[in-house]
Amino acid sequence: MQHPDQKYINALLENDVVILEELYRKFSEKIKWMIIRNNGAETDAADIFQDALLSIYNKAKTGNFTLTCPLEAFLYLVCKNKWLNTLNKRKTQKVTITDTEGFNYIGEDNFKLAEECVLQQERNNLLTEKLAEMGGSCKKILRLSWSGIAMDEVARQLNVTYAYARKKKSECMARLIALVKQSPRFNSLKW
Amino acid sequence: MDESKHFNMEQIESYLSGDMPSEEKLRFEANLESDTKLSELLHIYRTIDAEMHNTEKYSSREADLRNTLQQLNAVYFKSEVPVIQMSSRKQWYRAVMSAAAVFVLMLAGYSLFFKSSSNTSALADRYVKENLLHLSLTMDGAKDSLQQGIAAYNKKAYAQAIQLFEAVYKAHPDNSDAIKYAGITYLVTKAYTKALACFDELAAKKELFSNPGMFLKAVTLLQRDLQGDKEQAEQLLQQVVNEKSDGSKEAARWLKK
Repeated sequence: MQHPDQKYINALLENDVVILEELYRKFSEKIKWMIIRNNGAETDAADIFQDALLSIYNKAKTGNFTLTCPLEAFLYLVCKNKWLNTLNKRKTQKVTITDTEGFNYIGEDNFKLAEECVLQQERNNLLTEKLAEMGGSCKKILRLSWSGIAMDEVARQLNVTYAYARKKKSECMARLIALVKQSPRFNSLKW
Repeated sequence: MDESKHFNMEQIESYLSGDMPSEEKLRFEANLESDTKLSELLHIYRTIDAEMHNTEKYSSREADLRNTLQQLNAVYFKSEVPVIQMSSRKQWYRAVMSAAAVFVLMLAGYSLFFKSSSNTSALADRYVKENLLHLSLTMDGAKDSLQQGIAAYNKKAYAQAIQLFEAVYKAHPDNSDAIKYAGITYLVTKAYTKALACFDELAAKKELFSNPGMFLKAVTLLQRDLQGDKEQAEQLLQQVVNEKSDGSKEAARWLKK
């Protein structure tokens, strides 16, 4: 069943400044203290909080996201997962944040959804990073093909034949997949 | 070794796009059943296509949201200033040299800004800074919602300002100032998609004697500066000049640069 806090998810989707300000007012303090208590600084908390909201937005924008628990608990889980990943990347002394601020009641589905939000954002970051390493013609054809236009229109815009555009796209995808697979992060991202 | 080269990636593209002839499709699906590597590759290909399609589709909205969150971050999280311990002459010297370096960089940035002011985007940026960061209380100063919105805007309480301007416009859709101020508030908070929607709505009010909607839309596009925005803004500025509508003087000046 949809939780009344779904309004905050809708505010992210609609970039509703008023409701988003309410979200910050109600929830930012708890996240700040969780991070400061666990080897972080306030600037880390700011980055994690913003990144967590963008992760939730990215998951919700595809239309398959129903919040069934309070946002405070869900956001705490997403931020905690992100902060643990950051600490692992920094190779800080092993840190485990054991408390969930009494949020254990939120159910297994929400734990999974929070994890999926973080993973999806990490996959997206890796793809964007690897795409940037590719040549200009590959970037162009891939971006055009992802922009929602049909492949024959992509071919027309690039002034090539449909067959060539499709062949080129699959070659570029092969290159992108190879780059992504070479990354040490690939296996942990649950594709 | 890169196993993706063992398979014909074009077949995967053809299969996913629905272009594959039915006989070939049956063979391909039979291969998928027996070949786990092919099946994994198809899954990754499909995941990347779907995720990047969504990234491209929502890139403009995400940029707007990111800007809003950055503004709110600045309010709700403190940025930390490093504490410099200056206990010796050497550290004093370092601090003075650092300050000098910062000053030189600021000077270089300042001169670069003014050198690039011939660029239309920079002119639009200056226009926003000089003309839109403060709104005038144009009526009798009565404490109606629009005036309260202007007061909130001038205090940079943008969320409150938006709420007030939108409430006024909802109650009085003929109040063009309310939609104009809502658009300006979205513009300065870098919520460009919403600003563009407001200015489109304003520009569509043909009954107005004076209508800055088209000009403000051009300013917004120049500020957003995504692919194609500058070209669209220049067309709008030209239209503003041709129709001698609000902002035509600035538009003519910017187009000449």
